[in-house]
Amino acid sequence: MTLLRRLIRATAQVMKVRAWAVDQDPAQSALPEDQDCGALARETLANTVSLTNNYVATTHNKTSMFASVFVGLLDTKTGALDYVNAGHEETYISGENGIRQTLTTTGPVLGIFAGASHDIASSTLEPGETLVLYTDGVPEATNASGEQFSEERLRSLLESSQGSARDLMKMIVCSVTDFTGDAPQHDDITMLASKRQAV
Amino acid sequence: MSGNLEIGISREDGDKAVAIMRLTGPLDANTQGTLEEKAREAIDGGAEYLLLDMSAVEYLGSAGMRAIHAITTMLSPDEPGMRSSRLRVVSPSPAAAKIFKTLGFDTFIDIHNNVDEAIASL
Repeated sequence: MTLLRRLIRATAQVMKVRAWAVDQDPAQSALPEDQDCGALARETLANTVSLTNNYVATTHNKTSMFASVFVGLLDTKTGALDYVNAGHEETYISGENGIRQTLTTTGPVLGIFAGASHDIASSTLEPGETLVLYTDGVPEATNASGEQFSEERLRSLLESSQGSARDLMKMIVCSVTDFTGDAPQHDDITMLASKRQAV
Repeated sequence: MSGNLEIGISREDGDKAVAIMRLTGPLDANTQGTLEEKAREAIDGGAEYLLLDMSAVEYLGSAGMRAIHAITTMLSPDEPGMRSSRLRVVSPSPAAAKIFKTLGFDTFIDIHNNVDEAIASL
């Protein structure tokens, strides 16, 4: 997992440096002049995912190491989001009327299928909306009776969510904790929420 | 998820040496070693192809998927990272089928509705 995370960051950093170089000297850009920076963002995602996947799949294949990954580039000024969902749980964009969009997988997990292709999808985080990611340890959190928290319970929380991203995280954590009680968990319970300020 | 994984193994040795492994119970971090061990025994015993009947797998976790990938490597050590032509998954339970689809394993591992169909595909 650490290896995958470092590879993603390192590869993305290379593209960031390239973007900086292009910014300094537009003549170095391989992109047509009439294309915006979205093209560079998508190229960054494609290279990041492909290089990371192929390196691990060909170098560490015998370990059967893989990870589901959601990697995206969010333009914080416009809310434009380009992303790859590599075998990860459904990601949600929710607002005052509940879940507006579900970002499903665009390709398989990273690390074991060399040459796998991943589509790059696009969306927009509108003012007041929240991007919500989580690991499978959230819906699969189990109570003493063996019952799972479930995606349905998680989605129902998002249907009624208001307030800040931090408020949303607190509400979900409290709900999961109340559900599981003292029952031991077999997986990590990890979430991330990012809210775009309403104008 | 707790519980034991029971594995029943039978052989279909026609034109090809096939081991059919019927899994019952959870396939997770606690049971992945059991599956890998049984698969290794079957391969060392002469099986060239493995069929995993997963109709009674009540829970499939990422550790279980690692076991399945490890089996593809056992069967096809010269095809690292690629689709194994020697493994078939049969009739996965709804819970297992969902994991196969989400993680994208369904793109790389052949999944069949029943054993006869899987054997015919070999």
